[in-house]
Amino acid sequence: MTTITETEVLATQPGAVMRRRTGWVGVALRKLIEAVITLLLVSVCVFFATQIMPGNAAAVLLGTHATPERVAALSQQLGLNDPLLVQYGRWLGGVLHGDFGTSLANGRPVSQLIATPFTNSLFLAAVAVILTLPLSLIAGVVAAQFKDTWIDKTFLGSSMLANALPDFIIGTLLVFFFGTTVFKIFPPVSIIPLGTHPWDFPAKLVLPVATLVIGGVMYLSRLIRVSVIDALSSEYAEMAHLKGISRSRLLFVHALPNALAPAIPAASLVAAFTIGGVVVVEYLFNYPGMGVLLLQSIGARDIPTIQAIVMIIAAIYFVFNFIADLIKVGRD
Amino acid sequence: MSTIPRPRRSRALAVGASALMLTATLAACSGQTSSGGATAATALNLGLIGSVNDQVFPYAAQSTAGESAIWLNSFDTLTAVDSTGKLQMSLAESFTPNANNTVWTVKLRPDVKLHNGGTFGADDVIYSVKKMFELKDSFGALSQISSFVDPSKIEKVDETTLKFTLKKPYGVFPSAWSYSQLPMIGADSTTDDPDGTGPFTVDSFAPNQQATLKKFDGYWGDKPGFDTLNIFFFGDQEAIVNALQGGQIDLSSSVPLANVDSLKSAGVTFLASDSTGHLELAMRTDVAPFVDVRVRRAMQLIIDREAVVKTAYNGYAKVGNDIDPGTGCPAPDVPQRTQDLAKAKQLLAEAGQSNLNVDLVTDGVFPGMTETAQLLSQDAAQIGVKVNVKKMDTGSLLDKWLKWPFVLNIVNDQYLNLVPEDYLPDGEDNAAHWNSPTFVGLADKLFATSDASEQCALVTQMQKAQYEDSPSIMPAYPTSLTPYSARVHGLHTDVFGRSAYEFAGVTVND
Repeated sequence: MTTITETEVLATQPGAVMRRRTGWVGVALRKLIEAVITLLLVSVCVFFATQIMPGNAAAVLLGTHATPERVAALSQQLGLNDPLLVQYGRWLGGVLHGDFGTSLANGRPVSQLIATPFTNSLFLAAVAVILTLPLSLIAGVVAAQFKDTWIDKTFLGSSMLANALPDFIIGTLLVFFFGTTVFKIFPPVSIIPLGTHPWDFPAKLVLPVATLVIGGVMYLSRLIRVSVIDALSSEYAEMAHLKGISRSRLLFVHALPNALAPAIPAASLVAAFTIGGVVVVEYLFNYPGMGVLLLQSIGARDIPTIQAIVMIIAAIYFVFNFIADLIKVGRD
Repeated sequence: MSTIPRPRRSRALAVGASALMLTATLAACSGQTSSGGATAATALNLGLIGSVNDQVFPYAAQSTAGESAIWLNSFDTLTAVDSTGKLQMSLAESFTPNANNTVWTVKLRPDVKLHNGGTFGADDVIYSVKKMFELKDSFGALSQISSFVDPSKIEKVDETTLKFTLKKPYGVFPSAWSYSQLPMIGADSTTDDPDGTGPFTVDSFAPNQQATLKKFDGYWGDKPGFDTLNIFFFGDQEAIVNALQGGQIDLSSSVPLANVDSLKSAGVTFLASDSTGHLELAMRTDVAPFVDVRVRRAMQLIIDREAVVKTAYNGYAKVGNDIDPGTGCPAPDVPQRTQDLAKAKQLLAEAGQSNLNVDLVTDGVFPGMTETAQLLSQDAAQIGVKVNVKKMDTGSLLDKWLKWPFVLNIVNDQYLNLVPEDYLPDGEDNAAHWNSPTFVGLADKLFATSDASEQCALVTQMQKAQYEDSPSIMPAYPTSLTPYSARVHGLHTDVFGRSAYEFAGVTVND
């Protein structure tokens, strides 16, 4: 038994398709404008936050040899004595021309410095997301199918525990159990030699990917579980059951598509969170990605590199949010 | 980590099982080994803390662990201190002074090959020294020689002979050139491609990731017994410990002392060396409250040095006595300081500082730093003195370097190089702002004479002056522990903590 909503009635009227297209384009344009403003604000916040931090790049570079004269001279060389707005304007002007500037820590172009770490991070996050989605689906559906049984209760308990633990703790436990102490199955550290790629060493990806996947799966699968349970207990599902449709057909053909609708935007958000999560995971496993570079750059007060990495993470975060919003608009 | 209860293990296994199975399937498809990627039988994998600031060009602002490993293996200095702390000739064959030590004639070792195929000679030395002075704004180690070397007064006598005319008499001129950050480079060097004479050439380098060094067959000195040195850079010590346990690296310079026993259980061996490296708690002698020597002396009597050895260093240290160890000269005849809270309380009362309240600043990056600070704080509390430990990141610490009234510093160098930087009034590492006329007078005599026995007598007197004026607390002399795997053979003990960086005669199993 289906209730026809006002939206569905309107959708049948002439011109509805055009309005829907206009709606998509309008949302996309609005979101893009928001993205530009957001990224601009992020860059301003990061730039001025780095200014508040004690010590500049010159002082860190010079270490205990940082006499006031040397700091002043090196600051001059690095352009750190210019007014803040001039420094920020110089950076922004460069970015608008596709130039992220030069690292204050080692004088190399930032784009060159972050190229390999960016690829590595993207690969790590992509593998994690690709594994997270089907695993979440399987775990959520199985838990829903076995609702209130020991399987479901084990799943709920495990997922609650995993959700409560930060990635750092999950990763440390995985290293303890599978890398160094209980079982020595996987490399505890992701050393990727120069001239090679992470995908050349799948074994070194196991623990960092698992760390990211566990957090994502345990969040997303709970949502899927609830959606599937709701779908299976809906009136149309009961009707289909009464009409003799098999349980598997009911689940996979009727319930699951409806259950996935609310989970897909959440999946986009999980993907966005994964991008943020790689910072911690990379540090823990010494994976040569943007996270490790970001933490080192903060220590070195290397503002151009910090800016570039944060902007990239923010942009990726935005893209996934954007996808989630568009899916939501499409669903509505 | 070993204290995690077993019940939690089973839950964690359940949580991670599905993801691990899938990713493990991926792993099984690969034929790669789990090592650091070094497949050659004669490669040694060294793990060190890295930094985005690291560079191959040796005239850098400062020296990190990664840079030290690269520089020590790619370049040579004119002189060098050996593993016991004795001065040896290196690229130089001899140093001959004039009567008043203002002109030094340096004879270079002949037939030393540069990595690019040329022969190292006088032109390279002149180029190197001029380059150091050219980079004066960013080359921190220049302070080791800038007070007496005039780069415009270095004369090439012949291909292997130079004459240095100094700004002032300098009797320990040969010793100054042993400073590890003053290596020689070839005259055709560039910032991106410095040409050295060391036992390895730099094959590839990426800051904060990896450096690969290849054995230089034309090296003039004792050669390493393996072909490739892979230096992998890490973000923190915990990752180094994991990599050692997992067999991904063969060697590191140090690990947190709390991990020593677990690493031993995992089959990692430790090479123990007496070390000149140690912590000093520097008290600014030019500002209150430490301007009063009684307050400084009281702080030296408050700290329980035995507890520092046992707790901060897990027993891997000797009790310190507020003077630098390993000078190579007889130690002064002074009593060992021990904790004496009653005497400390009395000294503080006499100085009008019974309710002393001070901040002690540290970035805690070296082993034992944070623990030592906390132990002092606890000891001080017993007599009503408040020592507030302020831990901060290195950038914040450096932002006010030489301004902190009470700060934890690390000291690790041979004494003759240490004095100008750490104990003379203009020293860039003189965190105590110590300016003792007695000490300065003795140092002037020390640097003016080239007579070794006279130098030693002066060093002993200088240490006594330092002990009596109490500019800093040196509570312990740690043992340097170098962790290495069963693959590595022939490492040397070293008083400057270089066991993980020097590979003459070192071999690696398959």
